[in-house]
Amino acid sequence: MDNGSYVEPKIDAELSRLFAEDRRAPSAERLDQTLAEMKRGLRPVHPLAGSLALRVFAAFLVLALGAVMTLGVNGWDRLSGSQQALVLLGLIAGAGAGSLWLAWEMIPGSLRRFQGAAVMAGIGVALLAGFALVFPWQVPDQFTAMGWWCAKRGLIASAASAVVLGLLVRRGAMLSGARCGAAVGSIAGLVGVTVLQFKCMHQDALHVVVWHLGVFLVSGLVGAGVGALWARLRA
Amino acid sequence: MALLDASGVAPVPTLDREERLRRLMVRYQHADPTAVEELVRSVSPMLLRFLSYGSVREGEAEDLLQDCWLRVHRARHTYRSSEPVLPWIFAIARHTRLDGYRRRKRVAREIGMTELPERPAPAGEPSGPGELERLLDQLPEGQKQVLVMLKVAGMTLEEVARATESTAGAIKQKAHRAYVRLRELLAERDRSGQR
Repeated sequence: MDNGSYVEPKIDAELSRLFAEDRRAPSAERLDQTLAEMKRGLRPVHPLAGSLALRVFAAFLVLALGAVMTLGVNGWDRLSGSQQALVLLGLIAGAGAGSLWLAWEMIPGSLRRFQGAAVMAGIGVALLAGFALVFPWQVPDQFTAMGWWCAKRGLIASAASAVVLGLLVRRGAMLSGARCGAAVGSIAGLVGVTVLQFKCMHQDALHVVVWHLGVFLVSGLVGAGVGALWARLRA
Repeated sequence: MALLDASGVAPVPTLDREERLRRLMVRYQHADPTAVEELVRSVSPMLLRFLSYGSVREGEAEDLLQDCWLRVHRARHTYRSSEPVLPWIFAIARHTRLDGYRRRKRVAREIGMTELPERPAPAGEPSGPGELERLLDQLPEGQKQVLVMLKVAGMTLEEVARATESTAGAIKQKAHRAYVRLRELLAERDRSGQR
């Protein structure tokens, strides 16, 4: 069978013979019952709009810019050119990959060019490495107290963004609640990181890696948990 | 036009079959009841077989099939007419199967059993796994699903990748491993003189 599948002719022929012997078919009663259910109240539906990934990315931009303009940009001016470039590149790459991932999760049978969770994790690791290399190392006073203050703000921005993104996602099929939730959480986490990178005055490597990137990690994990729970409650 | 040929195996996917399914889905989205009927009746045999393989009890496969179609119905707005239909349907079927497995495990745990007991087969139907089931049962779940989609539904590697939320490269690897394993199993079977 030459349909682009892996072909070993002898095995293929034997498999075809075995599959052909399986003549299972659904019972007429069950099919009629299913059809009756499907036809009950059948009404036209509007297919999901195209360019779903672009819409998700646009939502990220609106949320991130809105949050930054609301909370301020005190921290941004403290960054050097290379630091600003790293932050922008990481956030845009992350939001882009996350938007594609979320769009694929919303539409069954989507062609996936990469594994979403793996790429988002990779972007997280790349940001971690970038921050560690490009940002100065020092342990500030009140590392935990200041850091926790920062993280809370980032998590609030992330949670609010997740609610908005969740409304967008509701129209999708969401076959895997955990993966959908992780995608939403990751993108929302990046909104939180954006807010902190623009606002926070403590732009040293340890603080940024632990408290800013931590928002991204926590948001992704919490998103996965919430998504899984929601799917289980809905089932 | 039947989606399975006279021998019960999906023929090489043709533009006609894809186009026919695509048009049925579009009419379904426009609430055409005859399109619903035609779609369900033509795709159900291959769906039932996909949902049946593995540790699925007698009769449960039809429950899963009905569940699958109701999920298809709720998600019908997510189908886009530029995309192939079978990967869309089988992606939903795959999750239906997974949810069914998790439900069985949960029920078994709640009643303190490691496995649910077999339901007795309806009168007149053979019980116990056939040769194909025995072969497939020795493959990991992922490889089993890939094989069934390739052989029963006649999907291409890319379509199977879409349905399994994977990449074409990963599916090709899975199919390769499945065939390698099957080669060993069939050789064992031949050596033991079962044929």
